[in-house]
Amino acid sequence: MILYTPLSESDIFPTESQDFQKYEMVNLQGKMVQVERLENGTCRIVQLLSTDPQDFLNEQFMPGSMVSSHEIIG
Amino acid sequence: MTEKDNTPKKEQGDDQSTQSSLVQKIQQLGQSSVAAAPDSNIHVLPIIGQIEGHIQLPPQNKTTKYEHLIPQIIAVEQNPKIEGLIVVLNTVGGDVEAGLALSEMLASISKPTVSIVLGGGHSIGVPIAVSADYSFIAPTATMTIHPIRLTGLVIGVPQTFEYLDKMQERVIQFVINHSNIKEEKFKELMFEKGNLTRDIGTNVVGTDAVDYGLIDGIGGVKEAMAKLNELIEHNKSDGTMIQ
Repeated sequence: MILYTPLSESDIFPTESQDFQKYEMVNLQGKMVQVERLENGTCRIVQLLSTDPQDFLNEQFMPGSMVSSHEIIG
Repeated sequence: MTEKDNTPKKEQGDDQSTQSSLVQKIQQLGQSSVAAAPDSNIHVLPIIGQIEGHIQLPPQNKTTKYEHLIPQIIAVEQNPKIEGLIVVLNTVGGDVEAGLALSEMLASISKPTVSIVLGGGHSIGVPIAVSADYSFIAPTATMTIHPIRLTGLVIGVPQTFEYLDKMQERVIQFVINHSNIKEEKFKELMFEKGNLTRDIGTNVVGTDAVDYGLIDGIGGVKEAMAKLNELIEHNKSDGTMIQ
């Protein structure tokens, strides 16, 4: 099926609200990180939000690494 | 986590408090923050993907949210240890008002700022790139300059058009005030026909952006760091002279 339309894809196929809820910004050791909540209760780091370049060398904040829910605040 | 680990240790070893404090120390040192590198005096602000403003985009989009960046810019301005800010841009553009807000914030920061455009700094990425004290563009990077538009929406009343026209004027004024490009040249690039598919505007490649005066220089990380350090030194020597 091809849709010829000037509308954007998200206008035609709206994103389900649960897709938004999977991701959230949390505080991990004083740094803001975006995590994806997984079904087994752990969280996968999606993105680190920091301006300090040294934070990006810290393996703990590496995107894809897992953190357990009780380590995070918020 | 630290608290959880420490409580049982405290309970057992009241008589051996010195030992338990040692254990605590070892536990604390066992955490990853031990080998902390010295605080960097230069901080980095990446502006990647779409600039997300008033409307939340679906999660599959890679976005930079302006409500995240604005507090960070304030933090950089306030922290006395931070002496310079480097802005790394690889953006397709996005929300005009959010982009202009970020540009104004970056332009009004008191610390030296240098921007690098890598890959692309399109659309509203242009004012953000020029808002820094000195801007660099990678030779292969491009910047798309085009008029403001609403994707797929039909303009119903003349007022909508006037509103968009005013918004566009704000973008133009910001760019010509913060770069060396002439207003005529910028408008010419913006309204050029036949360069972009189904759109008016121009895709300006790195070297051309410097020739037009839009960007200050060609370069990458090395040049940007050198320039920023130079600006920091200049800033410091200025400060001592006033005192």
